[in-house]
Amino acid sequence: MFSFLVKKLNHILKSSKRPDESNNTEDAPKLISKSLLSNVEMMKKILGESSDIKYHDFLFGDKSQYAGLLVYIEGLADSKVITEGILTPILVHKNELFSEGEEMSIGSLKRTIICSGDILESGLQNEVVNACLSGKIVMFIEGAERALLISAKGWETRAVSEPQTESVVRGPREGFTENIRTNTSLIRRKIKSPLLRMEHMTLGKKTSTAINILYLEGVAKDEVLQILRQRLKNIDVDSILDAGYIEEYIEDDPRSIFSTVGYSEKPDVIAAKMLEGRIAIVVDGSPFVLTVPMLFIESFQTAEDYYVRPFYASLVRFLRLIAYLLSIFTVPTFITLTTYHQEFIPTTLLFTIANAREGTPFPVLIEALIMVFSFEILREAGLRLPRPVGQSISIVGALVMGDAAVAAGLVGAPIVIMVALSAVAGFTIPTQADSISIIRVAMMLIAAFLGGFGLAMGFIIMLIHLGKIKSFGVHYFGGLAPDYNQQDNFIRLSLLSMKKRPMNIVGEDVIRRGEINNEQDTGSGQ
Amino acid sequence: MKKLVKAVAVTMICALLTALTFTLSGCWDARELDTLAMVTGVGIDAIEGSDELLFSFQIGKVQQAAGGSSTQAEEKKPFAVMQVEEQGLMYAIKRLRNKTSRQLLLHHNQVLIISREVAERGVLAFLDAFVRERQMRTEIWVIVADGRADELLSEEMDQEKISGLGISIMLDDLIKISEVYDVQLQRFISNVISETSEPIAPVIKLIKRENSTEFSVDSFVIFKEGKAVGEFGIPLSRGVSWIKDYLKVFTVELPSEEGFATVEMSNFHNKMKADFTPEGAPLIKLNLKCDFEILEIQGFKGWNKEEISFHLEQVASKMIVDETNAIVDYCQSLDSDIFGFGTEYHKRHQKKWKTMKENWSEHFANLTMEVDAKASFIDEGKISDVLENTREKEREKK
Repeated sequence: MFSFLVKKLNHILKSSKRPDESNNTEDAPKLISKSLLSNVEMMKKILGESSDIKYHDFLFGDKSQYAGLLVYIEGLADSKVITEGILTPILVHKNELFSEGEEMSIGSLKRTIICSGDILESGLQNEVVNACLSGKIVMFIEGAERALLISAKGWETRAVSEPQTESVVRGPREGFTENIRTNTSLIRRKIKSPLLRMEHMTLGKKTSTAINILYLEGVAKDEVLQILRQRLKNIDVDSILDAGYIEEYIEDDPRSIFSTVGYSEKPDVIAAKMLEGRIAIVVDGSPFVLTVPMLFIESFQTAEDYYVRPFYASLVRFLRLIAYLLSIFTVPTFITLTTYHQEFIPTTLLFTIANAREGTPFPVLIEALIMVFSFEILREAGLRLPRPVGQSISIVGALVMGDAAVAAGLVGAPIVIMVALSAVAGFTIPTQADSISIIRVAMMLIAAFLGGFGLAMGFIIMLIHLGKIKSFGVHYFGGLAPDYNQQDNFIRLSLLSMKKRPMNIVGEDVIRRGEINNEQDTGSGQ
Repeated sequence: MKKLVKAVAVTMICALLTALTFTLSGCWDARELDTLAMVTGVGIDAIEGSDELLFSFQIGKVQQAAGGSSTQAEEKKPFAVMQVEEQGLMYAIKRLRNKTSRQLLLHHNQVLIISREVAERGVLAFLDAFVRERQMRTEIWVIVADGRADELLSEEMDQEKISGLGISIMLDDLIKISEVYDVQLQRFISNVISETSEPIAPVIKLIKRENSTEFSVDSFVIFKEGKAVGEFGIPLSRGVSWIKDYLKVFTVELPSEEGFATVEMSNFHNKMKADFTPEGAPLIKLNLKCDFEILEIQGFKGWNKEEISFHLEQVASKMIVDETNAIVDYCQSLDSDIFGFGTEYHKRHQKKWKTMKENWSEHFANLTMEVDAKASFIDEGKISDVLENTREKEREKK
């Protein structure tokens, strides 16, 4: 029975592993034809009869001897560019330009007439089609073997605004948008270094999503870069709709509940991580930028830690660590104390708890599970509901779930306090919030089955797992070992003492800052 | 795909069954709080004309918190006292389970109250269970009741309603002001089983007034081989405190012919040395230094500050010497070494001890004390003179 189960589970788990390298054999590239008509037919065949695809044919030259065709997608291509940059120069200045019977070529059109900063030539069908789909204007000329791909992207985008998820009291307030170029420019604005590299990639057979890998040459580790490139290349899916897709495909251990890829919505955070040697992955269409490798301690570091003075930052970081443990262990500890180890509770406290437990119908585990799950349901509901309705959810949550349940004698008041505390504590570490929820329930079950002993075992197993998993070849627990420089772990030391970048993720360029010469200041105090 | 669905279904069912087995049947040693009766005090009384003892268990009752029924007509006692006549404690507990709906939880027991009659008969026999049983804590207080033990357990205290808890809190507090020599079960037992030392236990007296019930600790019972043999009250009990080095802060009154003062003593330095007189009899040298500050003075007409403080130093030092000698004399008369002098000789004079321990009671009877006490004045509070005197001084100035 058990071996059967184990086999099945293994099978299921294996199938969820990261897909291995699989070469998709491509057909030989098809060329576009010289004839305008057959090109129109080709485009219509590939793109189908879509109402937003516009075909605009025109004649030009001093005797209107040349025929041309523009293919573009309405809404993606900027009509202003079409009129002012392409059609006006060609049609209005036709006499001056093509008067002396000069041979008209694609090259001269590109170089002398069309006003656009980004023009490419291509003779391949799929390149032409892709360019059209990504918002470029395709220009065919009768008799030419190649088409011009004129960049005229102009669609509605969201302006750079303050991020919803990571708000700060002190520090920059701009956040990434859905546009990849805006996002990379935001990072470029933070790091004005010639060493900043951006590698372009397109992923997703149907979505053709643009992806940029950003890193600082020398600061980022080459091995990590190699692994990342390899893993990105291996992704073979039809769609990439958000950075989350990429995250799941490039994780080291997709079976682990701990996320091994970091993310942020703030350019300053991404820049800081890149300066420590991490590599950023910007995905078009997602305001979240991924960073690899990710360390466990990263979940406890926030941007603001570095913008306020180290004393308070250390205190808050320590609070976050305590909150993490509280969030996981308050409810399980309460369960194990009240069902197995009543002798550990001080006598008067025991009476208080027993008073509250008296007359409640369920075992404490069931009570705790009811509260934890109803909290998760409330949270999920609060998240999904339209904002105006959200108000009512909080009323239902606060009054019905908390107060009424206790007053009706369904659950004891202490468990409500414990669940509330662990839930609120979990919000201090948003990146680990999902793993906390899962571990909390697991620990609750272990605590109810095996008591304090089980809880200790559960914690040890959790530590072993955390110690085992890696992120892009870097240990998840990396840097927490006592021999490592503890300047930015449980407490944040002053920036003055952080002379080096974190040694376990950085490449060759280790030194973060040179010696500061303060002597000049001290003498001239008058 | 079908296989996967099947596997998942089987796993889910297994997980559900395991969860149900573990949570719903109350298996293993998981015990829900609402199935437990918290014992807060154990009392032992004698039964006339019988070898059996009357075991009383004070069980803290938890109020029905649910339902929100706040209109209770009459306030009930927050505890119940259940009694069983039996020879031994553990079997008494077993028999008690036939009478209650809940299992006794002994971890939180606070006090063991022995009636004076039982104390005189001897306590060693039934203490066995208190040391053997894993649920029993050894930090509980051993108390002798002046009267019946179950009376103490069935009365409410004024502040702390459950008297077992209340007594334990009261004694915890008394330790801090050095009134009570700390007599928790572990120390009691270790004194009982040691070769020469003997334990003492506080006596709690129930005083019923019209509007209140008082639990008062005024005296201590001296044991000899597990049986109560004597009792001493407040001035003598201070003597125990002087000899035993448990003192932290101690408030005493210093009466003298010229006036009366209450002082608070602190900074005790206690040095005890086991020695021998030239004749070979045991001699305990006790060197005690302490500081005191004046809390209150009355009388001392015409005295100035220096005179008073010097006088009080003398009185205090003399008092320490007198009280120490008094309690040692009393214990010698009972042949009960409650101070652990024997242990001191064991530690310091190991060779001689081998012969001494054979007839320790003889040596103890011959033991002499040499007490050297020095109390030093450090502070007189907000005013320096006696308030009565300052008025006269002002008059003289005019």
